[in-house]
Amino acid sequence: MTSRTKVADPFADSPQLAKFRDMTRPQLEALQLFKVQRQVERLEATSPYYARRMAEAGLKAADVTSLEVFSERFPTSDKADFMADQQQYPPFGGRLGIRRDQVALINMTGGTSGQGQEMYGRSQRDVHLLGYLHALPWYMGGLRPGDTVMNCVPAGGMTTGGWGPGEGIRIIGATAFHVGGGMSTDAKIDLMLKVGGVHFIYASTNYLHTLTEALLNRGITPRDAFPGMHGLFIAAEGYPLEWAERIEEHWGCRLQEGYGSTQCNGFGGSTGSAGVFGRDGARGLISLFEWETMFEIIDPETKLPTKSGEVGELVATNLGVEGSPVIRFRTGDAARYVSWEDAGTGAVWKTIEAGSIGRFDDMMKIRGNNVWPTAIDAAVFSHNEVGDYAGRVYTDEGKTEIAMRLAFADHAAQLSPAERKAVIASVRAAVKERTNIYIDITECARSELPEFAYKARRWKDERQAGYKL
Amino acid sequence: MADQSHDDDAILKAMLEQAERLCATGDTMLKGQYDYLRARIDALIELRRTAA
Repeated sequence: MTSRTKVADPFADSPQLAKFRDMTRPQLEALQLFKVQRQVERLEATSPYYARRMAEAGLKAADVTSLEVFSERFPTSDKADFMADQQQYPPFGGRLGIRRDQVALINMTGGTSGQGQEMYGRSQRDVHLLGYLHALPWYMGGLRPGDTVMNCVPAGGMTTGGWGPGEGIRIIGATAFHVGGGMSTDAKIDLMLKVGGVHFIYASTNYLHTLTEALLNRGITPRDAFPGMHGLFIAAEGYPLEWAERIEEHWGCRLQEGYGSTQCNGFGGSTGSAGVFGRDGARGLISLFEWETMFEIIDPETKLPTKSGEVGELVATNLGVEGSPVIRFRTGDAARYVSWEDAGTGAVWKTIEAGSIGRFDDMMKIRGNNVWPTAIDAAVFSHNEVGDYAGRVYTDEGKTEIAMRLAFADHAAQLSPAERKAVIASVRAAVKERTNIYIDITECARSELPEFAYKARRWKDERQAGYKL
Repeated sequence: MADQSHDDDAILKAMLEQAERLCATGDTMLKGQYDYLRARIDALIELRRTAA
């Protein structure tokens, strides 16, 4: 393995952060209970939505005497509940919880689910916390004043992820370079080369892949072109470890990952200084910032807590957010939970496995198998020769079919037809091994596939279109 | 590195009180900026909290 730039120890550099690391579990839970009680008491008085949900459950703020009572009796909410709330009390819904004139920023979810966009009204204090909840994982990942950060996520706009990086980089005191959106990858590379001293990159998993591939296609070795680079921070999508290993080799520095969302008002956790690799080269862990966002990990069907080592749904509660806070919000995000006792990170923070977070509602039921796009991504991108792919599930004469168009990376252009055939066969076998489904794969040109600046949407489920009588 | 947390908490509390006095201004051009300042101090108090 080639060398990686060492990540600065965040706990040695910040006594404040070390206090959170050094908490005992009872101390952390006492802090969570204080914040939960404060939040519930405030929302009972200020939020028609949460007051109604509590009344329907026969719960008063004064009843929340423990985290167990909170988890057992406070009703969960989901996206459909928030959309109905917004219909009833437009535009923010009755969950806003602050005066309208205290709203400093409107954030909306991306709308990629097809169910509509949630609307969040944030106070000035929330906007600072939004920045802090971006700054925190980047600080832990080594970002320091004086560093130049290339933010490849589209800045501004309506999403939390569009505003958080600017606020977060400013809080840390680093130099922000917002290159995301509206600029081609080649133009970004030209700017990077012009600026020279780039130390940290924030990008979606998919975009870091695109950027790295484009650099290599131009004959540029990232680690040589950007010797000061000491952190690559990704979010939003899963990846295979083989890909992470190659990314670290190409860039010569540590790959970090965060888990975040609009509902979390930024990042809810990150791999910290440890990076995406755990013990013995296995997947690393994302430590959850439980003093800011309380996370429960539950079985989506039984709603019971998930055991350590199992995949469950993340349920989030904002502990410090004032405007449009989420309380026991069912995120639909699927993650492998690892208890703090099993994680052995040195802190008492719950963890989830890095690199494998998926969506319960992205899950495709194919021929009786539960298939997540992240699992297919992992199988496909464990092949170095693959540039990208697009998949579709459709119905043909009443039978479910799965087709994939696969493009080879430019650096694999010299492969012979026989070698290409072998790679495709290997991809097919890897997908079969991980998902138990057989996929029909055809080769296409890279230019025929869409480019994604942020979250990739590689799959189309067209089965309903095939249900014709 | 010395831990200045006890002093920091006291300083931020005093700053918040001062900022709240500024927020009572009748100057509507400055009011939003004072509110912004107060909110940033309040957020720092919130994110530094390690106990109930």
